Amino acid sequence: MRAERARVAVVGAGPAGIAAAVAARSCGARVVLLDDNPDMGGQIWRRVQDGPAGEWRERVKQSGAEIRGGVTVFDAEKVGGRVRLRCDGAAGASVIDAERVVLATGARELFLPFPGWTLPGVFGVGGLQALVKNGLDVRGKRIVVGGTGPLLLAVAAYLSDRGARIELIAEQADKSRMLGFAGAMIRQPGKLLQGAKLRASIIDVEYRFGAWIAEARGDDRVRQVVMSDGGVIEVDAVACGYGLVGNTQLAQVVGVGIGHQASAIGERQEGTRHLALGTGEEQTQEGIGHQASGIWGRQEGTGHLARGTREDGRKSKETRSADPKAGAWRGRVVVDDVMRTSVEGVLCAGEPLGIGGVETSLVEGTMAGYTAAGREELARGLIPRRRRERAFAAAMERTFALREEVLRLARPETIVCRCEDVTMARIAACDHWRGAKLLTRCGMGPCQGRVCGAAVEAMMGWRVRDARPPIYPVSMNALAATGGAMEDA
Amino acid sequence: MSTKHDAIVIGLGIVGCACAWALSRRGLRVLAVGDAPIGGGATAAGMGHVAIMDDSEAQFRLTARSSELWMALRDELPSEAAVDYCGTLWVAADEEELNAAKGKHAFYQKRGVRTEVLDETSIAEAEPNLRSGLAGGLRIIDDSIVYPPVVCEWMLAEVVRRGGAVRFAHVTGATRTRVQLDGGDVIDAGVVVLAGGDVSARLCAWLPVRPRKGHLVITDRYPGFCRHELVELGYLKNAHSHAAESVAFNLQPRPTGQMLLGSSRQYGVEHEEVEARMVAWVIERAKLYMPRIGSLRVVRAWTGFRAATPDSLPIIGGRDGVDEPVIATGHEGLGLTTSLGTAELIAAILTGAPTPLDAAAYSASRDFGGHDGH
Repeated sequence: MRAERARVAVVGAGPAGIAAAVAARSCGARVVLLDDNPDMGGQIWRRVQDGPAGEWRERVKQSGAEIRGGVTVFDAEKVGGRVRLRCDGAAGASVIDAERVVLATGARELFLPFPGWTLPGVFGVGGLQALVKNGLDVRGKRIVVGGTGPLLLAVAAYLSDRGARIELIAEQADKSRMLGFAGAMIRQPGKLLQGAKLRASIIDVEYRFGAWIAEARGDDRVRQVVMSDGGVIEVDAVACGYGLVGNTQLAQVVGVGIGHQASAIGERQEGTRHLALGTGEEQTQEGIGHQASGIWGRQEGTGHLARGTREDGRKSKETRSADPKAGAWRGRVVVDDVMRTSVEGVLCAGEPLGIGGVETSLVEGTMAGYTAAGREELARGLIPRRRRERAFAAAMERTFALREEVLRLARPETIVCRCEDVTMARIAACDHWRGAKLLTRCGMGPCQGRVCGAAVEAMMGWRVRDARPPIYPVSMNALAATGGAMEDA
Repeated sequence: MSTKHDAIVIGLGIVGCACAWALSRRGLRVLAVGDAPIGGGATAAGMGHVAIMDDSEAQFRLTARSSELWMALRDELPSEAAVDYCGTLWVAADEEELNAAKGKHAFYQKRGVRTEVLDETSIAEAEPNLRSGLAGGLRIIDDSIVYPPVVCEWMLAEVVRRGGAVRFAHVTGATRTRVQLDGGDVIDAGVVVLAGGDVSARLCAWLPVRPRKGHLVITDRYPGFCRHELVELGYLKNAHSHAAESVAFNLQPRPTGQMLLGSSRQYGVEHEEVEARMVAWVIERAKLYMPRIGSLRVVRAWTGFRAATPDSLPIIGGRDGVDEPVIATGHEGLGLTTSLGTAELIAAILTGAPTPLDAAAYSASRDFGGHDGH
């Protein structure tokens, strides 16, 4: 097994990680950039070579950072003042003891279960795009793209360019919200232009607001979708995505503070917002929340104990997060002005701090790289830019906040956890995530709740925050090799 | 406060749930109270292995009686309880351990437990993924596995069906007839039973119960990789030594095809974090018996705390003349197995119902030998 030391290790080679590596290298620090994909770029720049993606790739290649693809970081732990990363990959297991680690672990798609969502041919929007990038042929295929956020347009345009027939783009947000968002876009002309370009390539496609996919129907694969207004559309495939969720698992296992407040940079006085510890912002470093008092009664005929009258008549503070519609259920890594987390030596940038998009990730990655290399003052110089980006991201989040109806699409018999075949009814009979896991095995499969956990968090308002190492499935050999006592020299 | 409850059982793990269930089956109105969730704590963390053990006569009687009770319950339990009579296969690495296996065989035979000694050839046939060259083993034919949280939920549903209740609350104090909850509520009952596992000493300070941390990992699905619950015979030396740290090879095939691998034992560790060092040690131990296990993918690791006593026997019953709850704790790694026997004994003590078990062996008043402290 390979064991080494590094000054700066960056986990994730998407925009934030690439920018962090470039910035840290520019200050002369030795940098290792790790990603579980063989290629750099993360989800957003996967197989994109032109434009900023190409420029940043080139920049990081020239920077002298050591780039390692195909390396999965499955555990992070503070050991003797350093941060130990435990990794596995094609080249075998390895351990990196880094002085500073930048977590640039990106985001994953949020799937909200609806009847028929498990039929073959129903994809996540990003997932379908990735499949097409890897060679899936969509020429002539009739596709409905639904969900929320700008990714719908981007993916629809991409699929359209590759010959797919986009039948409809269904955006769950109302048009009135979008108009407000356009106002925010005007302050960001670059983004407006991007949006316009995307729109042009799918100019003939209907972009319907306040609409969503209510059901997918089919047999061995999806054949039809039923829209929220009851309309039925014949399809060959469905791409559905309700936005993104930051990957905070590695942050959780290293003990980093996770908050739930929407990123307030730009709306607050600078300097008042150091580490949120003790500032009144909600912190959730607890492991498993205590349950509020309550009396359980038996629900007729279900055979399971069901949630009955709660003694205190309200939701448990510890197990419930804020209003799902406001997006506040999404856990966010809490950082200070220069991207330091609550754990010394661990920095974080990009989507785990709250979904912000490429520009936010680039500026935050750059800041994290500077801070990691000991040049905090350079990071400080970027605070105003970050504030602008985060203000834009916050406006996006408000615009594309999930409506109640899309959180209620699953029927009692709809599968929520695909790994363990757990239905909505079984989950709804539980009272919190841990109880649901124990009684239904929801989230206990190979994906470790990456898919259903975020959906359940959104639908039920439960807090899903229970990452433990290994955060990805990994061989026993890799665990054995990396867990052993390591020479400290 | 009204005394509408005949009994209050503190603790929603398998022992507490079994006690509540057994008492309600004998006609008592029972309130089960404790920190959520149902079937959490050591119950959720454990393997769910129903095993007849022979370390001592007292341990044998409790595990054997409990095994009978599990057998009697098997058809009542919901399918999600995932009962599987896979049997236990104690693995003997060398002649010395095989001789120990033969000794155990004689012990079990004399007491009517179905067992079988395997030699080098037959163990290789029984478990092809064990390394070659092992001396043999001992199969305990009627040992089984079960998914404990579902059993807990089922038991409490039965309690509620019989007019009892479940309350999620943190208990801050308890006497023989009264429970105090976080927030100040006080509930009275005919009798209070404390089944709080490793944290029981929080409510009953004299209890010689110490948390003993364990690590487990579970793999992706590999149907057929192993067939029995496998335990190394060296486990006997490990589990019952009171060394600060030890590991032993213990592998369980889940009905899903997943492999559940343990086990480690640690005293003096209070944090629940998964320790990479301990996980590595557990895996290295397993590889000595099953070299091919190294390539299996682990999907999850976790920890839990057993309630260990100085003499490795649980504490069941009340102390005369002391205003404290009746005790049902200290089951260490056998809580799942012995929950039903414990519950039968508690019911016998409180209601006079029959039991073949002799309460004296597990008495709260027994001599713990000036136990080795906290």
